[in-house]
Amino acid sequence: MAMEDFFEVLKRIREEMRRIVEDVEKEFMEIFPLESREGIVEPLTYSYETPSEIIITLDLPLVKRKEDISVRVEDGNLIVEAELCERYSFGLENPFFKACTAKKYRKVFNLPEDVDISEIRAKFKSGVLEIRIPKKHRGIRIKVE
Amino acid sequence: MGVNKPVVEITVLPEVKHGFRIRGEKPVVVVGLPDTGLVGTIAVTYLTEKSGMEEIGFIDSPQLPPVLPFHKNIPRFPIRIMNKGRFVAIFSEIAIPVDLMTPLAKTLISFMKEIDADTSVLLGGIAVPNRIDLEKPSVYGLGITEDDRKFLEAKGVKLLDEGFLAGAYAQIVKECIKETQRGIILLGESYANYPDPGAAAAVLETFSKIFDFKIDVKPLIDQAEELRLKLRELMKRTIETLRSAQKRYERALPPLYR
Repeated sequence: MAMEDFFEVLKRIREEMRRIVEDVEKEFMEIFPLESREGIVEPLTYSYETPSEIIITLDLPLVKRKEDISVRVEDGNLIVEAELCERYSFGLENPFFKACTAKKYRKVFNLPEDVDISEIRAKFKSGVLEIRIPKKHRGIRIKVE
Repeated sequence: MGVNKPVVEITVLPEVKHGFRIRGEKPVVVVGLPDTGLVGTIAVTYLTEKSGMEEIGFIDSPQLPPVLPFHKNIPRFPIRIMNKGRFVAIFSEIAIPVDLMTPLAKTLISFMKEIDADTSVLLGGIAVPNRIDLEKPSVYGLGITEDDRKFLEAKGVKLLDEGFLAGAYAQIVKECIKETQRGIILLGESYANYPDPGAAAAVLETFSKIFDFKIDVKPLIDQAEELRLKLRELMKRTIETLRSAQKRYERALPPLYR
C-alpha cells in the first residue's frame, strides 16, 4: 500500500470514529439532557425558508408575556430564552421527572452568513414565537425579454 | 466472506386481544394515533378518560419499539382498546413505525369486521401554516363511502375536497376501501410539529355533535399549555416517523386537469 493510500485510509477511519462518537453523544444527550437539571428545557422548533427570509417558530407553552422572552444574536448564533410563568414540575411519581423542574426555555440557532441580523423580527402569540430573519440580497436582477 | 442472501421479509400482523362483546347497537370505533399535532392521540385519550371508558384490550406487535408505559404503577400496552356502550376507542401512546402502518391498518380493519363495527372514526389534524392566527380551528371531514360523505354533509361538517392523506390514516382508509368498511376522518386545523390540544378540542366538539356523545372540552383547553410541554418528546418521535411516512404529501396538490 502506498504511503498516500495509507494516510487516506487512516483519515477515513478517523472520520468514521468521529462520526460514531458524535452519534453516541447525541443519543446520550437525548436520553439524559444535562440542561434539565438546571430547569432549562429545549423547546420544539420548526423552521423553513422562503426566497427572502428564514422563518423559525418555537413552541413556548406556559410563557405568558413577551417581556419574558429574550431573542439576541451573539457570535453568529441566534439565542432564544424564555421564562415560564411559574416553575413547572411534571407532578409525576417518577425519579427522572421529579428531578426535572422546568423554569426556562433555551435554544441556540447557528445563523447562516447571508442574513441581515439588523432586520430580524419576532412575534409572540398563543405561546408560539415566530422569528423572521431576512436574507441579504446579493444577486443582480436580470431583465426578462 | 459469505455471499449476501436475499432478505425474505415476512409481515406479521399485529395481534389483538380484546374482550369486547356486542350488546345492542353496532359499535362505532374511534381511532387516535400520533400524527399531525398529536391531535388524534390527545383527542382520543381525553375522550376515553373523561367518558370513563374501560380498557378491554390491546394491540401488540414485534415491530413496535420495546417500550411499555405505566400509569399509576400499572404497566400498560402502548396501543390500547377502550369501550363504553357502543363506542370503542383505540389509541396509541407511542409513535407508529412506518413499517407497521400497513399491518396495523389491516389488523384494525379485521378487528372492526370481527366486532361488526357500524363505522370507524379517525381523529387527527391537518397542518395549516396560519394556525398561530386561528382562535378556533376548523374541522374538516373525509368520508370513505358515499353514505359516509352524505352523513358528514347532513351533519354540517365541511368536506375536504382535494388533497392527499399520508401516514397511518392513509393506510387505514385504504384498507377500509378494500374491505368496504364504512368510516369518516375528522381533521382539525393544527400546528404540524407542535402538540395541539386546541385542535383536539375542536375535533372532539365535532365528534360530539355528530355522534351525540356528550363531552366537555373546557378542561382540555384549560390544560392545553401543560399538555404541550408534557407531550414534547412524543411529538419529536412522531415527527421522525412522519418524515419517512411521506407526510409532506399532505401539503401537495394532486394533479388536476379541469
